[in-house]
Amino acid sequence: MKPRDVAIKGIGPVSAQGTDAASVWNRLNGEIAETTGKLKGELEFTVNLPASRLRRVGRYSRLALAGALEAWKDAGIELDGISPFRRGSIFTTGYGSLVSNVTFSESVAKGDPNSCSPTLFAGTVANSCVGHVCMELNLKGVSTVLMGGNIFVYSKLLLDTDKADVIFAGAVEEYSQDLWHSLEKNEVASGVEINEATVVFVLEQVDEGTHDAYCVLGAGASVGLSGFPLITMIDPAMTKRTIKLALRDCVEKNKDKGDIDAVFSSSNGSYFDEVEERAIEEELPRSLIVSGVKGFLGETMGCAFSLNVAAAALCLKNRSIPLSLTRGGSYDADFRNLLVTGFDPAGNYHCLALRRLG
Amino acid sequence: MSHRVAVTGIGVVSSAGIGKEAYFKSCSRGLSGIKKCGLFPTEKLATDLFGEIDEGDFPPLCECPAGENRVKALMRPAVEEMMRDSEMDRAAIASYGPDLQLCFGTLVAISDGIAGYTARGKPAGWLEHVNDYLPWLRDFCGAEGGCWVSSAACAAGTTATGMAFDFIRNGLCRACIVGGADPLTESAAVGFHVLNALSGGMCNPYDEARDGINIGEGAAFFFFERLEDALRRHAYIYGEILGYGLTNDAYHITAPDPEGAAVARAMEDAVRDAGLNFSDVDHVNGHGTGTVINDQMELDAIDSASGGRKPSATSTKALIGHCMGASGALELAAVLLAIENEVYMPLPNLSHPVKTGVHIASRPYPCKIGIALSNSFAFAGNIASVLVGRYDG
Repeated sequence: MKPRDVAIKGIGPVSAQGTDAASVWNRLNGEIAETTGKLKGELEFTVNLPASRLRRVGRYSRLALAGALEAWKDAGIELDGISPFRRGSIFTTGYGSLVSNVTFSESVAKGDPNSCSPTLFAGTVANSCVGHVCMELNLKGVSTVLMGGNIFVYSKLLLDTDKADVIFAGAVEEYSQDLWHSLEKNEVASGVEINEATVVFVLEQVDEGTHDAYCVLGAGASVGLSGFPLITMIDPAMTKRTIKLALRDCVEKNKDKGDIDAVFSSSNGSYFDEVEERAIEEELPRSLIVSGVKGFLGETMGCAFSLNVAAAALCLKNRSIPLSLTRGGSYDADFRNLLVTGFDPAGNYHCLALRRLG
Repeated sequence: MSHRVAVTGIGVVSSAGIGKEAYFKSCSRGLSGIKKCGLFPTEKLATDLFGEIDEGDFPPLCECPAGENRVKALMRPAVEEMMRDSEMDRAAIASYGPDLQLCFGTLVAISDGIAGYTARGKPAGWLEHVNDYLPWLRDFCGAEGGCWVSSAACAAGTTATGMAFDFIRNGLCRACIVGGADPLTESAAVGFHVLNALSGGMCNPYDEARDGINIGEGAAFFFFERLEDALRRHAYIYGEILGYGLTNDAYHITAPDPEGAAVARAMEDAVRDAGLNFSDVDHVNGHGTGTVINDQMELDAIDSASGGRKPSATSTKALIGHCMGASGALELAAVLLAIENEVYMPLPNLSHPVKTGVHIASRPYPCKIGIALSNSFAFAGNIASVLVGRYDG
């Protein structure tokens, strides 16, 4: 029996450019005029659940719920036919539920434990987002939340080894006034447009020849940087060497699938762009560099790599890389293989290959 | 191609002892590290008993996340011991490149930085650095691969163990540095206080009179590698990781499902992952927090999953407290050391064991453990169970 591929079946974004995949694509493609990804603070979004079910759900978890419900709708899959123990949930975040943590910490500092809220405390754990998603969708299978790591590589491994039939893989980064103010004063981050965002993917194994998905996940690679490049100036020469190591590792793992046509880079307008671009040019000289995703959606830290994957998946499905992303003309050639890169607040640099269906 | 995964190095920092030998020596004799807390005020809490580490040089809470702080101070001696024990220095670890990944579990590693931020009037240049302990950890041990941080609350350490096992077994990398660390924080103490989950005295897992948890702190690290690599370099092998299971209760954000179906499923998945049957399991290092609902649910789940042959069960929570996201790593160390020393860690406060088919003992219990499970459960329903085996050559 031929091994089956793992595909992205649904995407549920909560982003500066829309709260469903079609809207985000239409904006990416210039069909809806909205060019700036800059937010003033919190995104506006709705969770399609009765208010009674959201009474004790913090905003951090609501972001995850909104993304998960939209991804489920977008995927169009029936969960009823899948055992709850075969439905997984693998999420990631950079700073977790920071708002709840700061608020709870302030209440603790007042010195009266009995006045502190147990509901708020429950919302301080980073995995609270996945708890609410699992309760709502009755996901009882493989489950965790990462604060650093590549949800696609791990989810693919779980699906490839028959530990799940479907996985909701998501990323959440919630706006925190405290963090955003601090970042504005950070010398490295101060020029970068930072946004909150969520994106959730429905991942499933598919048969060869399927057209009912965005794209297929290839292999990935992860290496360590000496810091989180958004907030720390890290040594360019060493960083370039590290990035090249990751790119080479990822290309090697995907070498039987053909050449990489384009690389969706992690470019955010900081010093890091040039370092990464040189590394990509040296390692993949024939690949187009697509550097405009964060210019469009903002730097979303723990969610950024996943949003970059979502943008690449939309391009693969629509067979076009729009002008808004390339900054040098739209790209409608017959591309099949994309490589997506990103870094996270744990100091990781990730690569992931995506392949067109069929 | 599937690889067997060997554990070839251990490092431990706990309230019951610094270093794996001190940890095992105290715990196997039932000597608890839980004591009166000196880190923060406890007058208004349900207890002043915590598994605080007061031996050695550990900074107070709320230090700057970009500089030296308590979580780094907990990790440092554990990582150093693990490196010595596995005969791996920074250069040897770096030589793996991306073929060695870091898998780490934590719950409150960033909470201490957040508490410091609010305590100092929210200074700029602080909050964005709460994750800085990770690049520090990578640099400290020389790892060049990716860092996978499970933050599945109190199941984080066991989840990180399972992930590392899966990565090596399936060829995603050749080796992993695996661990968990969490400092004892006032926020966690207050949080469990307002949830009415703290014990009024010493926690007493699996006892009819159990009334809640004592919170602890600590760190444990391990070197995982392919068995063939360990044999090639003549490394000492503590045991093998054989399988793991992850599930989610999908029941309540803080309370476990009393039916325990997802707990039973995670243990069964771990056993099935190794191609074994539950009847092969000799011993379970339980989550065993000492709360009324958790312990009954867990014992019932073990009882129902195990069928005819009942394993023994214990919990380290009465010895070192509930070390949050680090608990899974500290408990993995307990299991590996119990396998090595052929005696499992007792429950020192047990006087009236819960009625169950599972064997629970208050005193050190000599036994040759071939196969053991280690369980961790968490807020948000996350459940992790890892299967560990003796390596007999």
